[in-house]
Amino acid sequence: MLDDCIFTKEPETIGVAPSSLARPGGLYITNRAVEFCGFTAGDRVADIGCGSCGTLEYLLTTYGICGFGLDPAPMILAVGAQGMQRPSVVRGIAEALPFKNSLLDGLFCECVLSLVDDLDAALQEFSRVLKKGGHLIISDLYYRTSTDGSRLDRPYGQSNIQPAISKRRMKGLLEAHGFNSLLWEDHTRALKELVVQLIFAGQSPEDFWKQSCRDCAPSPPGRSIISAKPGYCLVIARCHTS
Amino acid sequence: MTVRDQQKEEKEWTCARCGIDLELAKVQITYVGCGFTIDVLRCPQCHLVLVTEDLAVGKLAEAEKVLEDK
Repeated sequence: MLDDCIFTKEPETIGVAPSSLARPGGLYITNRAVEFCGFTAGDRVADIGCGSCGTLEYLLTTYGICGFGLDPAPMILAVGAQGMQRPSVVRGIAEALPFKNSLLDGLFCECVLSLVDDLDAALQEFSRVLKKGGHLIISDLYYRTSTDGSRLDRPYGQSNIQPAISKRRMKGLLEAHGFNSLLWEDHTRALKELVVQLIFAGQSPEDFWKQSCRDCAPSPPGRSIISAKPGYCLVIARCHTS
Repeated sequence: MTVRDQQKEEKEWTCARCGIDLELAKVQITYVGCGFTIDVLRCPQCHLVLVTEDLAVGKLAEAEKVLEDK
């Protein structure tokens, strides 16, 4: 049923799944962000690209925050305990959020922005749906060696994957869309640890990146990302528009 | 390596110090400040670990490249 206080149109709700997290830092980085932003139960937050809902599940069980999830290809999920408040998960993309203006206190965008086709459109939407003073949390790959703001090459030709952007370009984009950067932390060590764990588990780094794209990516970006020696960062910015 | 290969390998190695067959065990290793858990053959008594050539030139070498940005 449409909750017209929250959604701009009838969302296609999916359910909630047991989580499976395979991203750098796991929930450590999520936890760091929640504590930095000071989110508490009752805050309205959304997880863009929620996948199997690991972050939403963590927010609910650890902080009592019942968030919204959005993903272009959400998993068909089993439900949690009966009678327990559950996050709403809807199908959608970052460039066209189904939320009303100035609705949210926080937006999580974990391992997602590097998959978004149109960064400007996505950040415009993030700015629209966040309240003034709301927090945007981005954890993602970034291009450690570039200072000119260029994106990585796309060796796969037709691929839509845009694996990473530089720190400088990220900050510029955030400022251009009404955000003040509050925090920039490098978590490249977590990225390396995850990749090495996968190597020892018999999985190639390329397969990891395919999984990170949750099968919604048009082609494997693995080789291009690994060869560029990406870093991983946590960025927190405050929305100063409403 | 298949499970059968792994089981076969386990039976083929004995600890020279203790005279006990090595067993597959989870071992914590650290390298350039990063910690990992890997499955390797280990003496159940003295805990001496066997790093096979396959492991050294395979997964360990690949991991080293990632950790050292090579």
